[in-house]
Amino acid sequence: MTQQQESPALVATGLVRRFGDKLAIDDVSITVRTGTLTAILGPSGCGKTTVLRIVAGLDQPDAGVVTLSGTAVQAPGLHVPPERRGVGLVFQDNVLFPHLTIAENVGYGVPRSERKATTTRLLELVGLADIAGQMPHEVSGGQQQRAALARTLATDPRIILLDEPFSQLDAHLRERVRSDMVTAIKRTNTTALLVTHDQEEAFALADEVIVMSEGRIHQVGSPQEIYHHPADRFVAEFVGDATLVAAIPVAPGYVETRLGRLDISGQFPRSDEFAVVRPESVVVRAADDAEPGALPARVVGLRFQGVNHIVDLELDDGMRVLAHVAGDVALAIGDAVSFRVHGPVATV
Amino acid sequence: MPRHVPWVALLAVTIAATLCLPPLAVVLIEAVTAGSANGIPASRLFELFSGTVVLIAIVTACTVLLGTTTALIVTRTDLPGRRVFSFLVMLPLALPAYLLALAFVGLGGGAGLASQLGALIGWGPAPAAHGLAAASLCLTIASLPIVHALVVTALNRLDPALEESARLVGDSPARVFVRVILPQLRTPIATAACIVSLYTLSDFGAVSVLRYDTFTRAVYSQFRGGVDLAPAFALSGVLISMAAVLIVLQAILSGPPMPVASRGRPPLTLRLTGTAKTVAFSVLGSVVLISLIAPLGTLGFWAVRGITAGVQPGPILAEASNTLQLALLAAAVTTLLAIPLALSSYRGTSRLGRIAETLPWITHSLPHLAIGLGFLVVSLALPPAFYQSTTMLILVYVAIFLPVAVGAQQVALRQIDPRLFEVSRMLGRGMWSTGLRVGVPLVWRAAMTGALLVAVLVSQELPATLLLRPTGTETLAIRVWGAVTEGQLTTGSIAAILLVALSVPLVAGHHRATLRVRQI
Repeated sequence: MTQQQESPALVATGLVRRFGDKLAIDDVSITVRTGTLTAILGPSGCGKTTVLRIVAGLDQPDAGVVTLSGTAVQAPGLHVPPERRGVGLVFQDNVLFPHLTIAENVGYGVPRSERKATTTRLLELVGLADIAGQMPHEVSGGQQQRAALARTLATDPRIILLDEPFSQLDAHLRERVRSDMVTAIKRTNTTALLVTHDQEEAFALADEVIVMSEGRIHQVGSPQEIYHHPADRFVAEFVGDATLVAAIPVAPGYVETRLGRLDISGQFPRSDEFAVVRPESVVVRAADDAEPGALPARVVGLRFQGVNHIVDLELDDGMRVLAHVAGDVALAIGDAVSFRVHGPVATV
Repeated sequence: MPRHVPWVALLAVTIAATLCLPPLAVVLIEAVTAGSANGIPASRLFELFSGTVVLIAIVTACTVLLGTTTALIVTRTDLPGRRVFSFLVMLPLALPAYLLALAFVGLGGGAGLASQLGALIGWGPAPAAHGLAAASLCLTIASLPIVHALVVTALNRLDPALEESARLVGDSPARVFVRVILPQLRTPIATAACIVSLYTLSDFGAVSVLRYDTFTRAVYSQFRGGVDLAPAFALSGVLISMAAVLIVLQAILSGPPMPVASRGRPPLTLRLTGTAKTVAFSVLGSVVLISLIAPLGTLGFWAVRGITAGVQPGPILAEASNTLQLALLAAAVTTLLAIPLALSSYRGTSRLGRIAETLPWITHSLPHLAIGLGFLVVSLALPPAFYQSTTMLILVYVAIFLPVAVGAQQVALRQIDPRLFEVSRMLGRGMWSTGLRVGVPLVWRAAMTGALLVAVLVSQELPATLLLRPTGTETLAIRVWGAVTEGQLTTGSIAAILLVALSVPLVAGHHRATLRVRQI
């Protein structure tokens, strides 16, 4: 439990950055605990990369303070240059030095005396020992990205910043490179801050997720909290599929909606204007096999995903509801069905 | 990375202003003051003006017509060997015009190579090469590659889909050329015409060798003729005004570069058969014969004749060594001083950066004879050690050729992903270490190519060298230029062949060379 006494790897408070008269980030504060992987999740242009660049020292905020392991590196009148922050950065497409081999790239930031040993160790860690002597343009995108990570880890940074590091990779490669890279980060016990627009990626990798939009932070929490207890309408709609339906509180733990009376027990409603109905809580049955209280609907959209169908249902008044149906159920567009919402739902 | 490093721009402006402002100021002030008190009769001025304009008009018209034709043949027909031809047509770009002029002198006239060959089959003597006709031919050949290259580049950038669509709606290839291709070539052709006009106006060597009176030749003879520099400055004032008009016109026309058509397929080519094939072949063949084979053959002929006649090689070798030393020294200094200028324009151009870029471009574009005169007056105002010193000569070369070195470095700098520098900083390297370990290795090759180009251009430079060289420092260029007046075709040709040998690196690196006005 010594971790508790230690100051967090990164604390940023009240960051503001203007570009012209546009506010890129507006009063952003984040904390990354030592040894964890935190993700900043948000649509492109939400300001998440600006936060990263300020932490790295590549950009300066108009206001705000950044401390790394308790040491201030950015404050009014203080700007520690990037090379003296002990921060690592991996870009979305690898930025390897084109005039150096893979091994020379990995050893770039390491003092001469340790260069050989460190380079060998890290090349092995990311599984690139056999291409050490090749030039960056001779190896695959995934290998380049792993080399870029190894180069950063080689300097033993206090925190490593990952700027959409997997988004340029082909879908079939992404999974593999991602798990290799996270394994390497975890094995070296490195604290990491990942920026991504892919919620599936944030959920899969992060211990804690920070949801950002238009320069502001909407919610901070574990992936489960973010998904099951979204803080507001933006988070509910941005993170995962959901149907939002207007809600009126009728009894403790219940709201009345167009989809029937819904259970909101276990929630800490910050507001209860809308119920957030996730597709997995919508149970669909054949029209002639309706549960009590079920609503009739028609199938208007169908995406087969193997385990599931993602089904787009239309009610008689035109309202749309998303539902999951087991993949082995035969369904076709135009089918008449019935459905009911089960279990507790979140409200926003 | 800091948002901007103003001291780099400051350093760049300081270098550019120190080098280029004094001669520019001198030339402008002297031109204005001398203009009111000069002793040049109006009739002489008119004579020079009309002579210069007629030469410019003929050369520009000929190069535009011929250059567009050669460009069309190599890009839009299936003529066999068109790539080789395109390369051969470009080659004279590496040769200074006065060298071609000397070759024509050795070709024509009673004792010329053409007459000697003609006599074998019973022809009379060929006309001597001098005057308007010879000057027009020589400068047309020297500047044809400028038009050819610009039009080929433009043609390659046209979207082939436009021509295909025109063909599909029923236009013949000739109509496609008039209705689709030509309208799109207007700006590149106008730009090329401007550059050729400026080249012709600025030429000093060829018109001197071929004894045709233009402003440059008159400025130099005024300078040689008297102690009073005022008439020379008055004439150079007119020369500069004409050049200024062309430079401004060129700057306006150049504008943003044409976008490259994204379709990665070649355009439709015209299948040449029968007569058309013969005509196309003859056009390209004659161009190569007259601009390359005949001049180099003539120079080779006279050089061999000189060597077999037992010409003392000593003086020429000394000149070659002088040329090489000056060229390498000037290239090294130019390349070093170009670094801050290239850097200051790397991340967005500030006002300071733009000044630092424009000043050397002006000294580069104006006639070198005028710039040389300006430097001469500046050196007279400095301590006596500067007058006719190697230092001064090198500084003139730097002022004239700085944009060549800057351009080469800029091209390489622009290709560097700025995040490479950020990555290096993040990995703990400071600004200087980053520059040394990332910047230098990535710019090195281009900077060396630029240095090579500067060295070749310096070795060929004539007017400024003529005005400012230390007494006793003779170069190959001066030998070639003086060969005609002294009637020494043989030694001149040997010097010319050595100059050609020195320009081989330029040809080798020619795909990297930017097309700038080369003035001799």
